[in-house]
Amino acid sequence: MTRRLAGGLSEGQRGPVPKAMVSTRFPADMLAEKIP
Amino acid sequence: MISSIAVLVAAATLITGQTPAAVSAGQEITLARGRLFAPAWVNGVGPYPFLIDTAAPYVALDAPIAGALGLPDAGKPEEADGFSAHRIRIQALEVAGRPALECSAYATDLAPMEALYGLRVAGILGLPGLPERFLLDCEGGRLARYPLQMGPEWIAVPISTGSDGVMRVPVTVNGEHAVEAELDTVFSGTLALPRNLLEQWDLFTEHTPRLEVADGAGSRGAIQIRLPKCTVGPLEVETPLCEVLENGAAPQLGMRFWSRFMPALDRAAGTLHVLPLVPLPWHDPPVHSAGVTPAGQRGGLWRLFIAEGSPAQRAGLLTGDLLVSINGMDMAEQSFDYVHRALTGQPATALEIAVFRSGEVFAVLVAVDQAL
Repeated sequence: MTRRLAGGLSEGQRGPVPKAMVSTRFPADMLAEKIP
Repeated sequence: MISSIAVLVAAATLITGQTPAAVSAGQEITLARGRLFAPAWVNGVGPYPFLIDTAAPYVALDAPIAGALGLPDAGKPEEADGFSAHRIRIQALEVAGRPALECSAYATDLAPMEALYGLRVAGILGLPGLPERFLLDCEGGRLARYPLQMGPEWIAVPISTGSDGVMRVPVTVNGEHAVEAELDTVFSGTLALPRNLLEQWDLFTEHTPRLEVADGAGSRGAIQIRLPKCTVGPLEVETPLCEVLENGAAPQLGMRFWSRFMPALDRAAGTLHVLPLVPLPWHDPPVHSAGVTPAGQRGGLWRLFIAEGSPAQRAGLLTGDLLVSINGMDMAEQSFDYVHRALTGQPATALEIAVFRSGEVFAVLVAVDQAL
């Protein structure tokens, strides 16, 4: 099964994370700081 | 049976007792991660959530609660069911509307169980703490009174009771292999059999399709397989899901089975009747999975367990990745059940899973399909 989402990701493909998908509690730039 | 509770030193948070409440015809129970929790009152204080464990020949109380209720540790700690415990005496244990019972119990640190069940476990309600006759109504969420009038829709299942009081039912696998399985409300699956028996019967080889899920401790995978069929007393089960236990472990029938057959137990008379909630023979339904399960938390994010050969592994996820979001839904600081539901998905769909690994956040698309 291969599916394409709006962002162009297909199954198993690694892609950047749209801003809307990143945790609102821990934004991506805070994660590295919070979880070294 | 709880066999592997790691005795960890954890900062136990005391569950505050409230005013005792009356219980009547039945008592509401909570189903969490496929296990049953009943409110119980200890020496008039409660309700405390107790895990119902029909395969445990003991009652256990969280040590900090025992201390707060003035039930001090006495004597040397004993090894009980894999954990270190002190013997205590509870003057009045009230559960499911039955008269208060004086009973012996173990006081032990139950804090590690919170990671297994997602809620603070105040005690374990094994056989000595359960009523002599009871009905487990999982759909209605009640530990109810034993039905005095039983119509023809109730089916008698033979049971045997060991010297430890644990109840066992006869199970036949593929019409030829007979074992006795413990009636175990702490096992969430259908059937569990030891690996050596399954191998001896040629039902578990290196080629047997399997599904790995995170076990309670989170770091290892519990292996599940499908069997062609089994019978439980007179009940036929098609394609039962079977968990592979360590060699020599006792066979178990768990909540995936009991929650569909509403067991009514009369322990004094040694009888078990079930009211099937499903058409017979029961087809144990398929499991759809992406091969990824939550297994412990780190910094508010769930650590993922990735099954060998699963769609999640093919998509590049690794055990230990920290879950950020699923299909755009934020998973930080969510409950186990919320995350587990989000990871289960619908058959033949895909999940966009964003994880944090080595200082980077990225997303992969993972297929959800019939895994077993």
